[in-house]
Amino acid sequence: MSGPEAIEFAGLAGEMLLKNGAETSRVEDTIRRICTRAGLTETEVLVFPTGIIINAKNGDTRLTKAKRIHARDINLAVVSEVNDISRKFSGGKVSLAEGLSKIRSIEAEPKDYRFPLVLTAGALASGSATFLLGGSAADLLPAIIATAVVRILTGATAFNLAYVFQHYMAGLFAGLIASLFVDFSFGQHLDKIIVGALLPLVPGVALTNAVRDFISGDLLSGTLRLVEALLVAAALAGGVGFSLALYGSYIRKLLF
Amino acid sequence: MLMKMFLALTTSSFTGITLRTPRSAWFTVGLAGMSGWAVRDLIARQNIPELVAAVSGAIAVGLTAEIFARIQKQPVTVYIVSGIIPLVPGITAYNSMVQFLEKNFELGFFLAFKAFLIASYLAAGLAMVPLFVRAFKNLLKRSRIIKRN
Repeated sequence: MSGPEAIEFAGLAGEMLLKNGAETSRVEDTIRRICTRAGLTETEVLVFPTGIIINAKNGDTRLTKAKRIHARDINLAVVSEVNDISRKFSGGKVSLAEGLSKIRSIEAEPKDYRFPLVLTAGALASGSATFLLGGSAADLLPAIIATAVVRILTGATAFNLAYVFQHYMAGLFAGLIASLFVDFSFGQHLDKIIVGALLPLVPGVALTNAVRDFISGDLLSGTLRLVEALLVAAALAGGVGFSLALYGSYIRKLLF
Repeated sequence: MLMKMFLALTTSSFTGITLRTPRSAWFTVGLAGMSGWAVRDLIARQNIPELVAAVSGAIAVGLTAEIFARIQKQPVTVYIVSGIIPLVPGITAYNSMVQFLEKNFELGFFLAFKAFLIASYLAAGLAMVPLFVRAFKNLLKRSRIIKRN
């Protein structure tokens, strides 16, 4: 078996998993399993949310691969596919070359749903979340429209804003649109509309992964992910707060 | 109650689609969310503290996620991420922010901390499940070995 190829495969698999929202222990586990299966020994893996370092012994030589991870986005389809390939590889059903080419094709062209589908799903999710939180039928339409606008403005891949700023804008627009609707008496409960619209955006992945990392002893990853979750939550709340304050003190006077 | 359970199902399901859940798991993700909501709601009605209800709901989500992950051969994360969404303390966080805007800092801090506490309890509940599952598996393995001998 060829060592350089194996470490390439393991590194790519780990990178795809980490980039798309898997927890640290799963990434380390996958990399270690691939390396062991490919015949590398004394594998050491270091994974944190912003990078991966792999070091393993191939016969008499030591191989190292380091990978810096910049952008992170949640795409569970990719996590599932990479997981499937690594499982097949360690089960012996897929050869090293096949696995590497498959994972390269995933990296080049990650599986993604069409934007209209994601948009509709997001809008429907917010609509049902608003209902679930105790909103009335009148709140349904404002929540759906607010989410649709938020997703089109911030979720569109056309302009890639920084992670935190994106969530700030989402909170800002959700707050503005919801207060407009409530003032024109299209909706009843301002709080339920806003929370419903933003519920699918809450940093649930980051927080759950943070606690899982803490429990499995990855203190560094846990801390970083916790900070990320708090930052995103603060950005959402800050956006909503700013929009409500702005609306209450200026825009309402302009309109009425 | 049934209506709300259905709403929890659709909320998790559609949220799952926005996070690009694999197609085969679209419905089961909703079921995970529904079970979590149902358990939390049933326990919260018995005058049991909110935090206990939150942990129980999270454990229900984690357990269903483990089961579906085994059946459908997907990573557990797929189910957990969307399944927990109906349980997130969004209204509490929103209220805390409103209190800050109205300069009621004490109440604002209280509510913010409450939301954070509930969220971390949810996460802890989710994280506990794999530990139990692993322990249970080891127990099964050991009992089989004992039987064979």
